[in-house]
Amino acid sequence: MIDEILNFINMNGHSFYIWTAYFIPLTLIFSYILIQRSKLKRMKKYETKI
Amino acid sequence: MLKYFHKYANPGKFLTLALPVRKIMGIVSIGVVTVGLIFALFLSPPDYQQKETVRIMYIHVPAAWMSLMIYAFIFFSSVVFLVWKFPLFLILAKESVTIGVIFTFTALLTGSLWGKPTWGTYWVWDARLTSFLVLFFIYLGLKLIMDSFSYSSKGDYAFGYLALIGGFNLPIIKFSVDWWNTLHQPASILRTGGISISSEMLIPLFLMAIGFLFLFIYILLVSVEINLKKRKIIYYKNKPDN
Repeated sequence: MIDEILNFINMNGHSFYIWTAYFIPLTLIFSYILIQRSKLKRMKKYETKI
Repeated sequence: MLKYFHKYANPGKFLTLALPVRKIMGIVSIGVVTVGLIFALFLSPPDYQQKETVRIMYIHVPAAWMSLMIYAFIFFSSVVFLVWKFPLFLILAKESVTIGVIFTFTALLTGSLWGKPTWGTYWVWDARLTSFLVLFFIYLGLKLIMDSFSYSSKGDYAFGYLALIGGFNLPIIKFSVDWWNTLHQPASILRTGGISISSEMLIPLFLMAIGFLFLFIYILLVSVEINLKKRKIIYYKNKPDN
């Protein structure tokens, strides 16, 4: 079981390329979503104050 | 069509339509991207030649499609703004730029990471890669114009015209692999001879593409709502009786 997980993480020796290709873009996209959502919340709060 | 543009050009009407769509897109996009990632990383088979590195394709190709599609959307919205002066289309175009930058950067980065194990290099100055880099710079140019002029109408027209000029790069990107000798492979899905890759690989590819499309719609609607609220707040703050 542990060997299978390690093999999966290792990706046949290409782990750096594959995991970086997924990690950086998905982090960027979901961080942008979180930033925009928090901006929208702030705007809504500010709008009700006015 | 113009009748519909007029109907929903009103920010209030647009938001009443956009709000439920945004909520649905938010939930559906997360679901589709999650299923797409499960297929891409666990269920799809390795390629007989590229082995596991083929998994990069499931994020690279949908991101590249999105970069082109978002630019086409910016181009179309800019035309509508410049010809019929609908400010809502300018907001839609402007709010798409940052999302376009993220997807174009993703396509360039993942392509580079895919290139190293398959071609032996991170980068070559071939027609497809270079034209895509030009697209990235056009996106950055649009972002620069947006941030330089903020609410001035001069900036709006500069943005619209640059978006139009940049549109000429789209067919160059698409046909670069046919017009020139490139290290980048020719099209295997959107081509005249039909799809040339296995269905086991098509499922994660389309799932990720649909997931990214829904994510784009979701982020765009959130951003447009922020923009409209910001304009409303500025308007009320600058009102003489305030």
